[in-house]
Amino acid sequence: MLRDIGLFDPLRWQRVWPYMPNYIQGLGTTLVLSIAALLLATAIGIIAGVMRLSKRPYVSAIATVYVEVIRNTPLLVQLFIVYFGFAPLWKGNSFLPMAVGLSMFAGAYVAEIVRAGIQSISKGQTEAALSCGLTSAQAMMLVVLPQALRRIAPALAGQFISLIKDSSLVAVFGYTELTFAARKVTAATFLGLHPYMLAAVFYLLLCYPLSLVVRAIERRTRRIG
Amino acid sequence: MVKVVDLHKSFGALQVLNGLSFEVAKGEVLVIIGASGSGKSTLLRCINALEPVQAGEVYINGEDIHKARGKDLSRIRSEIGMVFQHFELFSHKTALENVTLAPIHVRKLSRQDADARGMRLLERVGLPEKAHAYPSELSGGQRQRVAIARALAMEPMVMMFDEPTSALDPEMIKEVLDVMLDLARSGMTMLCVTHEMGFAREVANRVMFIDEGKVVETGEPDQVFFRPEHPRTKTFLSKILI
Repeated sequence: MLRDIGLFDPLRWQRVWPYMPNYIQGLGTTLVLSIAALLLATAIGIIAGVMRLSKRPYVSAIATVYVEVIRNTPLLVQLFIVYFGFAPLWKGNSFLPMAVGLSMFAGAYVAEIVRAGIQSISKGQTEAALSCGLTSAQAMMLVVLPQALRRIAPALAGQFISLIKDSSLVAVFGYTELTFAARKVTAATFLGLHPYMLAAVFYLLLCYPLSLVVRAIERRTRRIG
Repeated sequence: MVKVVDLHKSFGALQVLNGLSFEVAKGEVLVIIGASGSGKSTLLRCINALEPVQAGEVYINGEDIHKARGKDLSRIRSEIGMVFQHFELFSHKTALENVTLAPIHVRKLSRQDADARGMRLLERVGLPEKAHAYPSELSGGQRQRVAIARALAMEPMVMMFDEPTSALDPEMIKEVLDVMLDLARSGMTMLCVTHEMGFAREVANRVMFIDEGKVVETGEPDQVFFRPEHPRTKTFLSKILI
């Protein structure tokens, strides 16, 4: 049976090889999309995370609703809603809805990480900042957030790795990233296994170094504590 | 300079400050003593409005800090230097950056001016060589001295110390007290919650004993420590003086 699958059959791998440029191009698109979504998600997440801790009930309520709606609905359904539901906004652009959909999704998780990070910084830090004459906003921006972000950097990087993997879902919309490249190769070669295996290898090559970078960051910032 | 009028503060059903009034004149050093839970720390935190109060007023140079909001509140707070029991240095900033943060962002000093002022203050507390060390690389005594420099950086009119030596190992207490003594002799107005009797006898103009959220007794250090009038003061002192 394993022979039927042909995982180690060089002839089948040879048929996939000519499509390498598609993979490289798809990899680039995946990377650009993930980075754009990460930047946007970080911004959304910081804002929503800070809002969740607001003393004004309606402000924290808005952020809570956002986080709970996103976390309790499937990403694919969210992407359908963003892509088709808000189609007029995108004016035919296919990058924007994907980046927005992914960052709205990841933003909710980043918000929870940011909230936990802020809560992990002792109240005394805020009080010391206020005592020096800083406003609450300055205390948050200059004292609490920088420390919280440093503390949650590993979790954020983990979220980025998830985001890269989740970005494969946009292949459903025919967006030509890494997974869609594999799909095209399958259609052209009638091979079910090898094109996707190769895509998986590329995802691994992308994500594993990131995991190592996370560890390096953790070591480097230990001095500051 | 600092005037506290009939201050009431409670946390839920727990009444912590119960109609407390006193005044601190310019250049005066007031040492506040009292049992744990008597409301000493809460009093300091109410004076710079880190805690809201239920009733009463706190005047800093004639302005009621609990009526101030936003920028006004920050401005009044910047007139009150605060030193915490657990230092609360900003752990992501070096010693010098801890000292210069508020001058740069509140007083809008240029980095050069703030650094120069910061270095002068670090020299004053005896730590110029630690300017670029992070708090995690400093000993407890050094951290507290940086915290004092940080509070001084805003050139406050009054300094408040909330048990500044209580979290320190015994061998580090003196270096912090020396800085405080020096500060007191330079004419700084100070409110110190501390049980360091040597410090109190050396520089305090008055010692105030509070219990159950009220001022029980105020007087010169030797009088309060050695000839207390109130039985509650006597009971308390018999517990801390061995």
